[in-house]
Amino acid sequence: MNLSEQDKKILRIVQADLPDSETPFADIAEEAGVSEQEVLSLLAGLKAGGSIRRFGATLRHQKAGYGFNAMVAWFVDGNKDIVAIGRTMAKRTEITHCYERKNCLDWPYNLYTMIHGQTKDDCQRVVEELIAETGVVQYEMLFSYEELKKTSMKYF
Amino acid sequence: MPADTSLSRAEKKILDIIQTDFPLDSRPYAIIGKKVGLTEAETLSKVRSLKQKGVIRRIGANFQSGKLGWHSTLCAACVPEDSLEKFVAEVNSHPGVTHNYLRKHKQNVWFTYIGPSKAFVRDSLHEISRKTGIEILNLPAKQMFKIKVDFPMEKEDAAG
Repeated sequence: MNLSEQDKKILRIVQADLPDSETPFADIAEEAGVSEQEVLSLLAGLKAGGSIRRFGATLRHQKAGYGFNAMVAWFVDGNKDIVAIGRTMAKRTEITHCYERKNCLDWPYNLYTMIHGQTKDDCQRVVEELIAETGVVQYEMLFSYEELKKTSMKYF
Repeated sequence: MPADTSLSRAEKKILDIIQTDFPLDSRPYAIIGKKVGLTEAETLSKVRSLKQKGVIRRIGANFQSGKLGWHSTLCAACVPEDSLEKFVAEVNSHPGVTHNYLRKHKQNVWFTYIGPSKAFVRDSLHEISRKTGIEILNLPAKQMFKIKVDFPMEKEDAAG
């Protein structure tokens, strides 16, 4: 990807937080020494190309009414169709992340889902329904009890 | 007891829009305001108050690290109580660690690592293990089925 120094100046701002103003993009333009139109087209272009996955507000989900989250690591046996199972799990609105991952050492789990709910029971119910739907029975459910770090990556 | 009872209908509508569809436009809050029936000034003031209340963490770009040529992975470690503080301090000192959670499990520390290359990430994890004596499970993604981290506010069935 070819990004100019000016592009990087712009991205350094939007990887953190938009200026608090009625005209945030004009403010960014002024700081980076470019026109507002250049800021908007850079962002729109990166969004269209998928380098910016999402542009908008990130919430503290606990404060937004989604207080519980469970990471569930599933073991999908080699004779099962992990793609079909992953897609089935991904359909659930309560699931925000669903990835196939490499296993490691004695940790056999290869499919990971983040389940969000308003209560712990919500998360458990989703797991039970997924077991019934997919036939995957070996899993570990990992509730978080402390956030040790949460920040956004500084790429630029 | 969902915490969202404190959010007004207008606030929920605004959150639904700005999580996924923040307008890339000269006057974004005027556009959002038009959709929810508020003035530009009212809309911006509600967004400010949602930030102050801590509901909104930030507004900005979320990048797809792979598309930028970066490598990301999920890591887990089984850390005894008496080593926890030192291990967490070491892990969190890395700028590439963006999320780190204590979880109720034998594998109790779970963090993500993003770095400019696969080798950089692998070497950094080795370095953490060397310094702390704690083995780290490195669980990079092979395939992504879903990432959708916006939370619907208005649809009651979203989490149920």
